[in-house]
Amino acid sequence: MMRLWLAGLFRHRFARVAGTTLGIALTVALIAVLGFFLVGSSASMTSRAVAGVPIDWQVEAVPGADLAAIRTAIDKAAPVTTVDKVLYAGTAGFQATTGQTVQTTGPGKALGIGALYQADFPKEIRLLSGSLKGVLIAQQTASNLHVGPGDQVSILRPGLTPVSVTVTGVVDLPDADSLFQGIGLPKQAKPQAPPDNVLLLPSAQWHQVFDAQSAARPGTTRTQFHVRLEHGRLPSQPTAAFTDVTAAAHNLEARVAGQALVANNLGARLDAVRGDSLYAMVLFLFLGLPGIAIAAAVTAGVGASGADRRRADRALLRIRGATSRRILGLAAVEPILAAVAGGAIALAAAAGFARLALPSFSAGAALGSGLGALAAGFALAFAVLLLPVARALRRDVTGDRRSVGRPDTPWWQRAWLDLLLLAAAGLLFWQTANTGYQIVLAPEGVPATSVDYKAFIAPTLFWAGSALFLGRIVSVALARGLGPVRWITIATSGPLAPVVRRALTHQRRRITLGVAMTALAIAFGTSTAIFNATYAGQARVDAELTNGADVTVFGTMAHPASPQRDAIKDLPGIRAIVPMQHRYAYVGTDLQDLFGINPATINQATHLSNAYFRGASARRIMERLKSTPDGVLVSEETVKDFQLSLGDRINLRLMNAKDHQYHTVPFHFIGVAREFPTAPKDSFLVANASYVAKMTADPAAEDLLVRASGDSAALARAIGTRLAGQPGLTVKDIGSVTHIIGSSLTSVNLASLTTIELAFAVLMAAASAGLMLALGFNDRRRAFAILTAIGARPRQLRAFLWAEGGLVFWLGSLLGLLIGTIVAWMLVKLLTGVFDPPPETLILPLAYIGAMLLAVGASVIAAVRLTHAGERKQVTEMLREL
Amino acid sequence: MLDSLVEAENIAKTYDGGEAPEVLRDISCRVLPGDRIAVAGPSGSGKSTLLHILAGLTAPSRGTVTWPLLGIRDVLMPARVQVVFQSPSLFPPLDVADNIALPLLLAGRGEGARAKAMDLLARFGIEELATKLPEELSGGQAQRVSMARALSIAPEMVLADEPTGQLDSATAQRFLDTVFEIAAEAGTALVLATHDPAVAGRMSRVWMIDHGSLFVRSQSDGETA
Repeated sequence: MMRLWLAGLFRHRFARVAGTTLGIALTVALIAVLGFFLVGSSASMTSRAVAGVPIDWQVEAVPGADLAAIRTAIDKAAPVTTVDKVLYAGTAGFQATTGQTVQTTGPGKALGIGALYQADFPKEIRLLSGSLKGVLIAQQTASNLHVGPGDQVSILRPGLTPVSVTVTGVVDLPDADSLFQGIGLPKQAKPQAPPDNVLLLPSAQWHQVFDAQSAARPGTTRTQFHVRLEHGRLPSQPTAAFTDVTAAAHNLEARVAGQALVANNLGARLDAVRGDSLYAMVLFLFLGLPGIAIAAAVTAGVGASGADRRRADRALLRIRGATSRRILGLAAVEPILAAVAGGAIALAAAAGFARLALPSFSAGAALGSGLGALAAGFALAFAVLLLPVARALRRDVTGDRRSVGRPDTPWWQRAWLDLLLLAAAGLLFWQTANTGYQIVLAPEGVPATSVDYKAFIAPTLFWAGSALFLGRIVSVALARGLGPVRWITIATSGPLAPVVRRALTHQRRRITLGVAMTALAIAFGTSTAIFNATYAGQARVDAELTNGADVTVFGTMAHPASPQRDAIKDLPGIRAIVPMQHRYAYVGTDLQDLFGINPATINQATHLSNAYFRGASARRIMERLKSTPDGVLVSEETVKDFQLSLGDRINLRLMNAKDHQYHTVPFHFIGVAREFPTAPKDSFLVANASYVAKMTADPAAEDLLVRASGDSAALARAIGTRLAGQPGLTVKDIGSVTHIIGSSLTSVNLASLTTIELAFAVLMAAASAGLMLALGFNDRRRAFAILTAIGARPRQLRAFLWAEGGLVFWLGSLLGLLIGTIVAWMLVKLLTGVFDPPPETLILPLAYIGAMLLAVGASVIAAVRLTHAGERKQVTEMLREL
Repeated sequence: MLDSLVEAENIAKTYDGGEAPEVLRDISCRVLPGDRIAVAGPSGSGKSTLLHILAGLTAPSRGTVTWPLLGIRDVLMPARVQVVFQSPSLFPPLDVADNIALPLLLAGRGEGARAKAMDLLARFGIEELATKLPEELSGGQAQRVSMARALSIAPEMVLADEPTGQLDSATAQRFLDTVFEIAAEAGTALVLATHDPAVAGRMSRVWMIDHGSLFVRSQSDGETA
């Protein structure tokens, strides 16, 4: 009997079984792929974070400590690959003579490094000019002293005679904050600014210069060990890696207690990434779970579309005396078949895809996710295909045979559950989005992390409420033949519209299901696409904030980039080049970055977000700066530190090109800047370039911001080639900085997740519309044969098909786009913490939405055409049954 | 003959691409305007197949069928020929009244179609079924509605397969009275496949089908061929 049933399923119900199998495959594949990516993205976040730390540990010996014992303790505390000794000395300043003038800096630092240090820690020192062998000078110091390779610099030692050294190279210290950090300071202490003046000497030379100082003033010198740990042994999950590294650092602290202090840079980085990792998980949940739920719902819908046939088959078996157990056994064949075949197809496809898209994918790590997805597939298949049978067997045969019937008002409609859910979602959303909550909490230094899962409630309730509300309004519209239903039936059915409409009214349960499934799948695709586009847009804003523009030519005061503008302006792919001064100014005793801009043209090359400024929009702030020649925008921190009020006169000290000395220049405080392209996060100033040029007698601009009309990386390469040989200039494109930005926004690799989801959304939307229609039509072949048998012409038959297809497409699309946009808006609001700076508007990816609607439309057309073509072939056969 | 509604010449029918034995063999027959013909014969003798061929729903494997007074096969339905099938053949998503009006709507004569449907229901004494869905009807009710649907458009010929099969004899007689009355008003020829001698007895001619062959018997003349 079982074999007969199985053969019958293949022979006569193949389309139905294939449809359900496809639905199960979609769901299982989505669950599996999301699982693979969740595991893979955490691992890649850890490896990226670890790779981005220049020095894992800085171990600072207290004066007089046993350095050999500290070195041994480091080896015992953790597996290490590199340990370099670095010597630090405080100086009273540096001095150099250029022509007739003598330049003297304020206090500075002189470092002693080994010959291999640059090779061991390549991210610490970047050569700008000259050679790395010998005495190196930081670019700002070189600029202050007007020296370069080959020049003499005097080191002013406190209490000792100056010592003169010859500079061999000018370098940039990209990681100066960490290199000169205060080790052992209390956690709440303000971060120590790196010194403005730095000289690096070979260890032996450092000893020659500073051993006397160490002896005379031991407090002015210190020794650090810079350590790189063995990264291969770290756990792949950020939280576990953080716990491991922190425990090892504590172990070292215990071993060297009283002898040395430990700065755990790697732990701090992993600490930050823990939060990002949780954000990643939250994103996976926010974006992935609705997809899984909708895929399951689509599968249920596809399964339900064959319900009439199954009912008829079942009724026949019951009439012939089959027992409930026998019927259940036979009914189980279809879900088992669909789950096994669908699961196998899905896992093979998901693994193949993950292998291509995820470099860190391993079958072993993915086993758990794969098995979980397969189990979910079986559960879904049984819930969709077997559960209704079990329920139906409790009813009598006559009741079980009914297919169209008069739909009762479901209990949830009578209880207004949909509106209650939507109201609750709105209330919770308002509460969570307006109370400054933090969805992810990973307190610094504390191993425990938490996610505010309450934030998931509002979108979950909204999804559920929307799905039910869709059911209500579509059902009501069909029952009453309201406006859209009337228009669509008139457009698709012409003179038959009234009778087609009445036919649709009696099939509203089936059509409502098709419209709701299509709308939810489109809503899922729309919300993911809008969120993704907004997220990508903000990632670009974030990257542009760091890099300045698509491509930026960074120069120095000694080697400004603006004279090279003419050399590059004719390169193809350039839309605009805007110069920007990058100087330094003293605010009191604090040396800050000063950016001189032309407020009228700056936005030709870079985007100024409203979020960069406080109290007014970017446009208003730029207008204010333009109309106030001596105006200056001050960072929030400086405003707070110096208790500034708008309109205050501020005296800044800027270096004048005539005498290379700092002179007081008056400015007026006209606005607060939170962020600015290329500016550091803490303190900076923005002023009119023309005013700065006039007051410093130096019209040059250190940087050039370039807007690309095409590929930024290619343009950067072209500019780099054109400027090759120009000293002190660096060319960077926006793409090269994206991966090193420390914000949570760009550290979560959303692209792979959303690529998968967007592809699934298109498949689901097309399956919801086309597959459900096709299976529904297939289920009603007999009804269409009746129409043919009483004289319906092909175009009249098509009128019935097109009306149903039109309703599913138009109502599904419109309602789906509406719900999807609302969900995207909710997600962006709820996940504000992911965005830095927060987006000003949602970005609508019209191309994707258009492609998705095209796919839905094509699937509807295919369903109608295939059904119609099949109907003409099958009508003779069907007539024999009439 | 040019006065026939339908004329079959030496037709035969096989299914399954000619593999199966012939259901009908060398049958020749014709239906004239206003005819009352019963098609009788044992189950599986080919009565339904013959009706489908005469209605133009299916083509014979051999022989020719023409509709001299009705035109070509493509224009027969819905206006000129209607078929009542043996099994339930109402369009499930429409209520009874709409089902009856459906041939009129398909023929582009939708004006007043539902009113005409209500009138027919009243004449058959089943007006209370107007808003019922097909699956809410009993077998007998569905048969009466199907016949009402076939007659609604006043076609030249109705071919009905066991139209009284699920009716008791008294109801069947009343039902036939109404059918004859409406058919007579519209000049509709009736070809009814039936097992019921009482039904066959009310027809002017009886076609007996046995093992695929047709024997025609006139009620007045006796068996002719």
